[in-house]
Amino acid sequence: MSVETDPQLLPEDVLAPSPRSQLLHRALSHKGLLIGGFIVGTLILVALFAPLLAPHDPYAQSLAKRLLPPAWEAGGTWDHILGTDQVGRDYLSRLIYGTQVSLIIGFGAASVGLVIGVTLGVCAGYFGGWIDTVVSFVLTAQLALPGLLLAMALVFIIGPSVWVVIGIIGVLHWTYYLVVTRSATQRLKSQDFVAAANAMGASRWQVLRSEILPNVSSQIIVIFTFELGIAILAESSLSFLGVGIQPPIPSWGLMIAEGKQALFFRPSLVLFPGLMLFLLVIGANLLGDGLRDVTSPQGRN
Amino acid sequence: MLDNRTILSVRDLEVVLPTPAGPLRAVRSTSLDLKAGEAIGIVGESGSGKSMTALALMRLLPRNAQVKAEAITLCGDRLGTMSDRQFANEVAGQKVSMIFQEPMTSLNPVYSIGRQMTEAATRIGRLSQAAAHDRAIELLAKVGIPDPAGRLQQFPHQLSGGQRQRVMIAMALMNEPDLIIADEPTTALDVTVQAQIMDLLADLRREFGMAMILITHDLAVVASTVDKVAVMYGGEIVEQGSCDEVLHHPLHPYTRGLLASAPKISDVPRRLGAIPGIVPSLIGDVTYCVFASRCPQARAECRSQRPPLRELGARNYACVLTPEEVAALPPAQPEIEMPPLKAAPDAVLMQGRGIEKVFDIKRSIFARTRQLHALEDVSIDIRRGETFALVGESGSGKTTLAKILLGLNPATNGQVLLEGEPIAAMDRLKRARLMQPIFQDPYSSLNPRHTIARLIGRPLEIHGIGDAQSREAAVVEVMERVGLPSRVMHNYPNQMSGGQRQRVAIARALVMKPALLVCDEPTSALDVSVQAQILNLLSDLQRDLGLTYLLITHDIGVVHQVASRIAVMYLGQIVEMGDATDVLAAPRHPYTQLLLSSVPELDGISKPRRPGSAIVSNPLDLPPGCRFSERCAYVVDACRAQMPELRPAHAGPQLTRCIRDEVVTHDLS
Repeated sequence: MSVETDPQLLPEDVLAPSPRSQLLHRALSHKGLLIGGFIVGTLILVALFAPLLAPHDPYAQSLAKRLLPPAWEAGGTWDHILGTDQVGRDYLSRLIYGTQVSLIIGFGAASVGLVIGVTLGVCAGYFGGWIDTVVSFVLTAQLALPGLLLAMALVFIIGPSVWVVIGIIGVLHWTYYLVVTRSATQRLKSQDFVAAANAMGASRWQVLRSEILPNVSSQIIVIFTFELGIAILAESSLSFLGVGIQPPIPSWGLMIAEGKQALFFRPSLVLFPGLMLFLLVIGANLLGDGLRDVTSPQGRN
Repeated sequence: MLDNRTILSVRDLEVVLPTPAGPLRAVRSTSLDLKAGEAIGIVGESGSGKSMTALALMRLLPRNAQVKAEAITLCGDRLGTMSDRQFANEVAGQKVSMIFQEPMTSLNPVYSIGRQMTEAATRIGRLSQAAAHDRAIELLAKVGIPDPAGRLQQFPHQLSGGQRQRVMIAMALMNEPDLIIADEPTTALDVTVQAQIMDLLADLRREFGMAMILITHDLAVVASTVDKVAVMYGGEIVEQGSCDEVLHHPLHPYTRGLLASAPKISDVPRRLGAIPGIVPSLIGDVTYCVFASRCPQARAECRSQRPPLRELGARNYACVLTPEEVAALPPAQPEIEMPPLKAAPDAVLMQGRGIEKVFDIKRSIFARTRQLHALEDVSIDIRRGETFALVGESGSGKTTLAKILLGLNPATNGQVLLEGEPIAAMDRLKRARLMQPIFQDPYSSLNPRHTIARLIGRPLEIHGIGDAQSREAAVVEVMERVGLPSRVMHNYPNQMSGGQRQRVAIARALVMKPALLVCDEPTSALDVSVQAQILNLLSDLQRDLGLTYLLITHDIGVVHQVASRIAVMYLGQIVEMGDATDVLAAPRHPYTQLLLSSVPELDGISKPRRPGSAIVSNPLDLPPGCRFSERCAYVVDACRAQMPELRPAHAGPQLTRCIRDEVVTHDLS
């Protein structure tokens, strides 16, 4: 048979490098991804090994050592590097343990929102019709509700715990996922590769799983990292208002809330948890943008 | 009107675009001369730099692009030393106007036609508002827009694509420019509309004595429109000369390859002479012949030094080959006849019976539901081993029909039988094993998230055929069959060219070994040299594997090249159906005649255009009786009284949907 082979690629390497090694190569040459990955990875390690890293018991109070300044300021001691809070608990230990709570809440709530929002969004976008109408109504209803007030009411009714806070923040933060995945799915649905999958006999589930979802994954990643920050901040707000994480559990949001009373003469009490929050959110966003760049089709070349 | 004044003279134009990979030399040492009233066609495939040249002349390139030229003179003005402000005030839109490719997006949707047209003339104070208004009406009438005064109040969305392009042309003429640059002015339009727009441009050029630069990828469009041709490849003009000489006695190997790739309409289909490979990247210095990587005549020196520019009177070309050496070359298109395969009439593979599709259209919740009859009474037989072509312009319903035949959309009425079994009741996996689609746009038909191997092997995965190892073996085998090297297995679609992607789509369709391939415009998104590769491939596969093709296309050249039988569609109905040779040689329906006579041909001899207007009826508001009656030149009262049936023609073996086909026939001979 006489088929002209397309001689456009150079006949050098016999096989192009495998997708996995290409992906690794792209990941390693993406600075934002590396920095974001380093920050988030470090924080995860800190959370996991908190008992080993924390110099003191984060719950141990000592009224004699109340409101010590950080070690490098006048009156500080190296025993409490970042000083102590109003009831004399070591601030560094509380920050380290607080990483656990913040990460769990951030990832947990963003994941709960992801599951709800992506499921609804993909279904609404792909099936359209009355499903879309119902989902759009639910979305409008959700957007019309005052989120923080609702969260406060729910926590008040159900009772505060870490898991309740995760659930409630997650349930209140799925709208971005929905809006983005719905419109992306509507656009993808009319692409020829979806028609091709239907023509090759793929079931709806197969089409959704292997044609639609991989193509909305970059948007999902970006929203996830964005919602991660939002969820941690929402937890801070709730804790600040007294309906989030309950004392004495150390959470960065709660620490900011407690520190605000001493804001003017001991600003470090607000500054350090604020910095940690900032680091985590920046790291998560860098990581998300990097993952999107590395995995997106445009990134390959 | 013609004089010998030189309107435009360009010497050694260079365009450099900075890219992350280095400076991209998009246009290199390009020189053009144009006299008053003269038209030059710049032809080339995508990436050849033809649009860049036009945009550079109009100063429409992105800001970071560097444009250099030894000299650009327009009507005696040196454009090279002119400031951007001076250019905008004195040249753009006045001495030179541009017509863009996409009439749907080149008019501003929020302003009325009148405002957009008059603004060009009043902004610089050339005409008063009233005078500009009168001139706009006059020009709209001249470009063939009915009721021009009323149209001025309308907005772009109220006009059809062809009408918008006419408005664009009228707008370009507002200031009586000396030069018009038309960048693919008809590529987005149907062929019957294209024919009228090209006629219009030629008439206007004669009347106003304008010079024109026509940029197109379609050699046949050039053949009947311009005086001179410049063939561009890889940012350079490789051959330039009078239209006649370049198209009939090409000297540069690229021009020869390009001409050999284009399907011809007039003789027995022969194997197309495809140019292998794709346009090379032009980053960095070019110290070799740009065409060498694809040239069948390339020598060692072609890769190490620039080819000499050979001048022969009024024409020139850049190649190491002398004209005598070129004359001694074998023809670029092989002398292998490839007549489309015929099939026995009783070996029916797929059958459509009285297919009807009605869409309910609702503008808003409270609006009345209107019915759009996208398909009406469509019955076809597709025979085993043949290529059945559905031909029609946009809006004819051919893609709707394809979706129904593929079983992707249900028909409102009627039935599709595949191997005698109704497709609606068929198991989707069984259907998929019998029939596979190939879509028009290989950029959207391949999931960008999967590798080539995964894409091609996906049908096997869905059907649970074999294990990972045997699937990979099957993928490699089918890739080889469609001419894809197995080393691209791990690539993603966006790392490949359009032609390669279409090969991937074909491989994916073939991996299940189906009997029928439904090809929806399989080559219309591709360059002509790549189209030739794909058409050759499809023909080879058909001969080797005994495949049956249902080909959906608007391109008569492609139909002529591969189709055994044809059904011509117009506004949701089949108006003529029969053997390809019969229908193409002696069409019996006025629409088929109009369509065929609108197709530009390479020999450049303008055919007598069949009468008929190009304005398509609104599918929501169809005329009574025959659908074509509003455009038909042979129409009588009986045509409007009753819808004609599709029945055997009086004088010919095909079926036709015209009650007066003997009159139509008589007129033709």
